[in-house]
Amino acid sequence: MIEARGLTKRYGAKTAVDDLSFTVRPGSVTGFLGPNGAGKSTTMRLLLGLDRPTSGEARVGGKRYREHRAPLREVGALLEARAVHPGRSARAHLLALARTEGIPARRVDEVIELVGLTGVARKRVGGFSLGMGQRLGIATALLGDPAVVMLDEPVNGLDPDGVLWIRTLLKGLAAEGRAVLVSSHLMSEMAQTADHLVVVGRGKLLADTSVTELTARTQDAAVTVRSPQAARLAVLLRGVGARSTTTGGADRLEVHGATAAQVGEVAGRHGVVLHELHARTSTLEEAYMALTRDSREYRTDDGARTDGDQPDGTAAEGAAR
Amino acid sequence: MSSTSTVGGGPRGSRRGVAGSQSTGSGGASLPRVVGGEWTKVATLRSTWVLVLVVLVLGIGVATLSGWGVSQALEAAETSGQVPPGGPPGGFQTGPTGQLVPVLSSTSLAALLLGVLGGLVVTSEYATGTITATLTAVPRRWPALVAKALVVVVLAGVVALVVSFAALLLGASFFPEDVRVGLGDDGVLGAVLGNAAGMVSVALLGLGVGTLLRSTAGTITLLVALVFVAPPLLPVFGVDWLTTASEHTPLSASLSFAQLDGSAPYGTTAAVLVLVGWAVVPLAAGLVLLQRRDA
Repeated sequence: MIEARGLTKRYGAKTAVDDLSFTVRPGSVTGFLGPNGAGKSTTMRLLLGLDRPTSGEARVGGKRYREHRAPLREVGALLEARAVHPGRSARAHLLALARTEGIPARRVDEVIELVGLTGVARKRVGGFSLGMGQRLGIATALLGDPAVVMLDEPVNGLDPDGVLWIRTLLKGLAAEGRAVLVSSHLMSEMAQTADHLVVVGRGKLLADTSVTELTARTQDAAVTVRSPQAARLAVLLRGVGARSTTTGGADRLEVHGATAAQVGEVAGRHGVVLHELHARTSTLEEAYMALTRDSREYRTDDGARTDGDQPDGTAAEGAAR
Repeated sequence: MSSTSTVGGGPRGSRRGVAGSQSTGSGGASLPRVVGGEWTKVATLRSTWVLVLVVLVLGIGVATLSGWGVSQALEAAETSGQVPPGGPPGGFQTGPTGQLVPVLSSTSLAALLLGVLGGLVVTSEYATGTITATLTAVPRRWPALVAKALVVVVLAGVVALVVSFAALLLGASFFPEDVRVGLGDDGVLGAVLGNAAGMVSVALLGLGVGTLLRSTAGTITLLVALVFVAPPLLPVFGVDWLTTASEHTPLSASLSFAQLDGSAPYGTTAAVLVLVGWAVVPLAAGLVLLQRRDA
């Protein structure tokens, strides 16, 4: 169990984490979502006692992290995958950490095998690919067989096989009764793995919801219609219980509460000419983009129109200008 | 095997369904264990052993050359009846100090490199990000630094003793047998041990400065300034307190053990205090900052 209560971290005038409260429960995967610079990594550092909060409190496994005497057995974390001395072998890195808490060498070999690094365990980490580095980071997190697992962007740099592997692993960890917190800036990734979502933007909590709930919210799909008789159509649609609003010109309607087929039938029955009719199903990704629209750290000037982009794509664009 | 069944089976067996409610199992991060972990880190880096080898070769090599050079100069002076320019005080009438000082002071480069080794123990963790793993494993933090200090003391201690004894035995071997200093002579053992203590002090100074600065380049710069540049530079200005300061740099203090002719600016106790000060004060300051700072 992870509990953040009013967690706040300021660096000078900049507030990286702003009064954040959320709970990560055992037995499920909680996705920690937010655009780049939303404060996800800082929050994780606060949870791990690496950085001190300006105010608020973080408890992991019922205690503040610093109070744990054998923290690796309680909490396993992956922060930066490449945070290993390049001159040391993967096995030596894990062995050094294991020794500090009396974890037997047998367990080191076990986690190495679990993440599929057995063949390169004695090779220097400097020669590892990004994906191998991620796997070593995950091995580090699982070393103490912890009740709480915290992974910062674990799919970064992994190939499709690796991504699939992570998904299965995370679900398996949750099924074993562990509390799993996984950060990502990709909704699409979290939609497939997480049960619960904590969405942040500019350090603030934007949503604390289950994936099912958010999906339900996004089911409120709209139908877009273009017709020279838009006003008349709006009245007719109201008659069948649909709500419509004019968007982007007098001949455009956005209809809620009716399917595209229903709208077409109403129009046909009353001889209303249609120039365009299409159903616009909103995705989870769009719901997330809508949620975080105002809090993206870097945006293109017309940020509102880049909805289709992933946040990092937007960031790259913003930086390029 | 599915990942679900493999993840468990750790040191405490599987925790299926009882997450977070288990006891800590086989104890926590006790200091001996943290020392074991820190030793593993230091010992599993090739750079550690390369540096140790360089320290041994340079330390013993330069001291040997120095012994040979001084003895040659003395011999030349004896035949010509002149005191060699830049020769040790006392000229060809060389006493133990005339042999000990040039030979043992030749290990200063080795001492500096041990300081770099001590610094790297912590700065390499900041450079590579390993510090995150270290501090998540030891969130109380101070045991990690204390463990690093113990590892540095043992490793640097062994190397410093080997270098100091070998330097004396090889360096002095070029002097004529009737004047040659031996370990049995008064104060010679103290001079050798004092030299080794100075090297260990510089190694801990490196660790302390490294913890304070968290940067390899900064640490090396400061070490070179304190160990190499300050002692000959400060007296040049002829200002009393600067001269006094130069006499209290780490290697001046360790050399005072070799000044058996009474030319040392202070006694043995003071020299020990100076060495302990250089080893402990920056380290203690680093410890305080480590506890307070964001990692």
